[in-house]
Amino acid sequence: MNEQTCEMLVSGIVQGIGYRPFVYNLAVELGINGNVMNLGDAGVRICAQAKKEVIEEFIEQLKTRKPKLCFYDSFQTRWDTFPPEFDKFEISKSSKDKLGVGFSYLPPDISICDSCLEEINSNDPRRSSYPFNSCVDCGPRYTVIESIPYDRPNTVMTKFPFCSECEEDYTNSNDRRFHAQTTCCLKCGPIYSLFSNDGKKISINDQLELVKFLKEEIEIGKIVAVKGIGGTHLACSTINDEILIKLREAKGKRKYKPFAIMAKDLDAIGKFAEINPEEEKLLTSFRKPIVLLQRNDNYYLSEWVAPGLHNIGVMLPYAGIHYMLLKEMKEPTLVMTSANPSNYPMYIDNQEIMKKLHYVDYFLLHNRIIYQRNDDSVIRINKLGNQTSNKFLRRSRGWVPEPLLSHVDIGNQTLLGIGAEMHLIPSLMKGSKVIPTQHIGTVTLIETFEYMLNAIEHLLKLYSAKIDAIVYDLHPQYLTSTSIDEINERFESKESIAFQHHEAHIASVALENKINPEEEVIGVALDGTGYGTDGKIWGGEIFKGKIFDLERVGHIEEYALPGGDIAVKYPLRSLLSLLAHEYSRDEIMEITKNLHHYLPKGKEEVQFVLNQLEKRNFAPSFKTTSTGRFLDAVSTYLNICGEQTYEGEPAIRLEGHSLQSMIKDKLPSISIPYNQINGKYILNISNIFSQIENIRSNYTSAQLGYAVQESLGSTLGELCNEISEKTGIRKILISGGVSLNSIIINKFVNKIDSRNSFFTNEKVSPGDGGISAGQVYLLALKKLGFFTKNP
Amino acid sequence: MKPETIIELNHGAGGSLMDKFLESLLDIYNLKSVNDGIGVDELDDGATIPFSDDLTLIISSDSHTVDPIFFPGGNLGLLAAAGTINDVVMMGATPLAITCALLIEEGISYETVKEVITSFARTCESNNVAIIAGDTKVLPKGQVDKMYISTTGIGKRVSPNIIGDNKLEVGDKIILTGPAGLHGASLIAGREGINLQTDLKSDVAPLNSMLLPIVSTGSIHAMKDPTRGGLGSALNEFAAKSNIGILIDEKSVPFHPEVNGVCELLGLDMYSISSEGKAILAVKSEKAEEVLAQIKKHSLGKEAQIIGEVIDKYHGKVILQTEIGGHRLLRKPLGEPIPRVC
Repeated sequence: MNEQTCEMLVSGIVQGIGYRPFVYNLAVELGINGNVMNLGDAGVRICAQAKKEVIEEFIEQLKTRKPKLCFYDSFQTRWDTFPPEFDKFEISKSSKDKLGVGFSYLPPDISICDSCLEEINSNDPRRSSYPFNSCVDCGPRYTVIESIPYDRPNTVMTKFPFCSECEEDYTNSNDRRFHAQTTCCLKCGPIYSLFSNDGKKISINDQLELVKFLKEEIEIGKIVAVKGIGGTHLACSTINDEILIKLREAKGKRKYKPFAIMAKDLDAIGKFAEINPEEEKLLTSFRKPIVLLQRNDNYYLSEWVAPGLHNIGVMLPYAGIHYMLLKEMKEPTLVMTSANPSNYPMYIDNQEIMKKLHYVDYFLLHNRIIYQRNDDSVIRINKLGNQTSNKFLRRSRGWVPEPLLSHVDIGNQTLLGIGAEMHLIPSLMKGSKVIPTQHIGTVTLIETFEYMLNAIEHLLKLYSAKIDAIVYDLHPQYLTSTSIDEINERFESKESIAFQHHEAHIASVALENKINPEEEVIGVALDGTGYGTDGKIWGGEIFKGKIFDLERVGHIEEYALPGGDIAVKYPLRSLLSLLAHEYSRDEIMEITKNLHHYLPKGKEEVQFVLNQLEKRNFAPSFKTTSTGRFLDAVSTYLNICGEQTYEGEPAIRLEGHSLQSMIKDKLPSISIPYNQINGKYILNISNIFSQIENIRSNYTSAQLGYAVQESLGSTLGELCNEISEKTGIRKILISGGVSLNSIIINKFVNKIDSRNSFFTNEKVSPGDGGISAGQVYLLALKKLGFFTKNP
Repeated sequence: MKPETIIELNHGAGGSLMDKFLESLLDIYNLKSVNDGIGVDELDDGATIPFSDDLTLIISSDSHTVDPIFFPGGNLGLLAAAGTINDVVMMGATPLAITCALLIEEGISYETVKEVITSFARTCESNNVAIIAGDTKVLPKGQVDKMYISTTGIGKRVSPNIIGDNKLEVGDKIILTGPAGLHGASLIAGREGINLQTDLKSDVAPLNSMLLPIVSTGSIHAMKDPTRGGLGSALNEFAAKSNIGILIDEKSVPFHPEVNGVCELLGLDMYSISSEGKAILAVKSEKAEEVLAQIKKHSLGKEAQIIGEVIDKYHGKVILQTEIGGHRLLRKPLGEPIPRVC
């Protein structure tokens, strides 16, 4: 008797991807007895009993032939020679045990695979035109799992007991639905029903007929709410101005905010947008994000899809229903914008969808619960010097709950970074992993706050974690800061600490690029708003030092923000403030005479703001070094955009306008000077206006806008080189929402001395969605004893 | 508070910083109430001294200062008289007497003093309030700004129940007697030189004739005039002291369009702007419509509205139901609003 037993504990992505069926089939193939089971910490335990060399072969093949989405974080083996107890190999009942080996996590939601799609298009009576077709390789995961181990009873699929055929598929080791938790068919699974605006069910049950009916309705200009994987979309025509304007009015506060669209396939996209190979790879990946693509010369969709922008957000279908709908459409694109008012979580409950979306013509709803919302992810690929860079505008569906790997390890502790307030995505840190939640949104409403808590709880459950400490933003009026005691209590956390906004931005870059914490860096954080340690509003900050001990060595010239957030809505106020640095009152009135209508009370309000600026007694919080507000002011100055109707709009449209109608040769020469005051570098941004005034009539607004943005990048590059020259620091870290601007950042990195290297965010958003990752990383460094100062 | 803390304006702004300041001062006092009445540590509009079932005295103390002394709709004298009367009324009492201590800066004209004190006296008299004691000091230039008035109001309780910030009950309706923020907004507009081509005026007025007849019916559980810190502060004190939740329906809160205008021009929070002639009432649900109708009959209460209710959720918090149907937390204002939009 030379049989041996080997127990294997594996961690990584080993649940929710068909791992046990893979192990089973391999064991049977090699004639191994034993069992495999899911564990309560998302890991898997395998027991194999056979001759030693057979088991060794088994282990070898487990590592080399693993399923596509499988990832091993650790693979532990324990050999034993106790007498054989298995007479076959089986998939055993899952255990709630948390054996605590390695780090396991579930895969994100996976877009429908080609085989399942083929079946939808086939004549198979159970699967033909069945929108919920899925298998071991595809389908929703994060959005349907209530707890781990990932077994059907722990998902929302438990409400749909198997029919006899599905039961057979599920238990047949040769079937690709062997142990596929989301498997179902037309007989036993969820289905779509259609309701009219008044909530009455439309008596079409056949799923294909439903789609055909809707296709006709959408083509004549109707709006349909489509409940999908992680939320609800509003779908309508992309070529009908009238209906798009109607949708904008109905959604409220949505005057110019771009809508995402879904296109049938790459060919369809190619008819209106450019796709480079990296973009194609992203679009077609199983993650299926919205990718911002440059419009091409043949762009034929309505201007109202993305007004005033050079690009358009496009995704490919990722659920069966999307494919079915787009296959029928004459025009193979659809607006697919999320169905929620500003700052409110997406509607996912059927009753709420019908009650709240009263302006929608039809509701295409299914009877499966969305356990967790998950918004579509949004990515833009920017050129950065001689490389391209993935920039997350939103990291959510398709990525969550994947962790980021840090190079520091906090052991058994779990930390929570709550984030800032807008674009909020909290992050957990456990061991050496940082795990962002799905996109939550702007947390000013109690509903969104509750959603945030709920998402954190979900993630804690999936990772079997309990929070030890929480980090939040220094801003004293964010809901996440004023409620920090409540958040602490809710998670029974022992302590909480606040970090500065822009330092967290820089830390997020350090985290994902694994910068050694003991190494000094130059950090450049450019954004709209973040509360500074001096009580002023920062947003154009240059730091140097170690990540946990950054020193603010420079910033954009300080200027008043008359009216605070009102100046964000009406950038003419910021412009007046900047002009007042260089010009007299009469001159300012003359320079801005065509812009006064941008303020609600016109010229009178301009006069009033100028009075305030003359008195100069602004509270600290109405003084700023914001890059975002500067770009907004330039956008208004060039008459491109005079009112912010969505976040960042004036700056975004400044970039869009500059890229869209730019004549690249013959750019005006504009430069932003900088000097040192009290040992700090100050970028004299207000200086550009007098430069432009002298040459304004010779150039278009696009040329001037392009030149201003380039000059900012250029000066930042020169300044970093100078700091590097003086200090010998060679690494430059760039973050903040403005680093999504390709004109500024491309110029910036092109200016950087070749001996220096630069780092940006590619795994979390450079905007406020990435703040929590930086926060939690700073707290980890503090816990590990890196801090020398008290933040 | 740490001994090295430097007192800043926000320590007196009616927000959460001031709460901490007051708490630390109250810790210094030991004897804080008489006959188990409401004492200084309850931070209500005034104190009570119960003598018998029929006789409870109400004492309320206040210092008044305003820049400028003469403002659209009134002056310092009217403000001091009305403010003191209102504090006594908010405790469910009819005001009887007032004291008047003056701090005057050298160099001010007699005419100014006379005009202010005349306003003060006429306001007291027309409300049957006697000026029974006083003190007058003149200080060297710069030690006070023109003129301050410190008062103590004395009244006799007429409500059958004890009206207090901690007496709100679940189900109570919240009534606001008219658009809020007129006093604060008109002063700010004057100071900032906002020329809206209209006559935005302070709402300063004594509220006894409007409210005392209702007080005696026993329908009012709590009452407050939203002065410093505005509606936000007043509602939060109700919620915190009664440990209940208050749900406010944003669209039913009456605001004067010009108050909105001033707030929008300056980036101020409408809920933090002071009123000097308005009250917030928490009223038994079944009596709410009746009380509202009675208030609306009075010339100072024509625009009164039920703006919300007391709920058994979100204890200690004030929740605004926004126009889109979402819910927002209304915090006690903490100084000026800080920009937050990216």
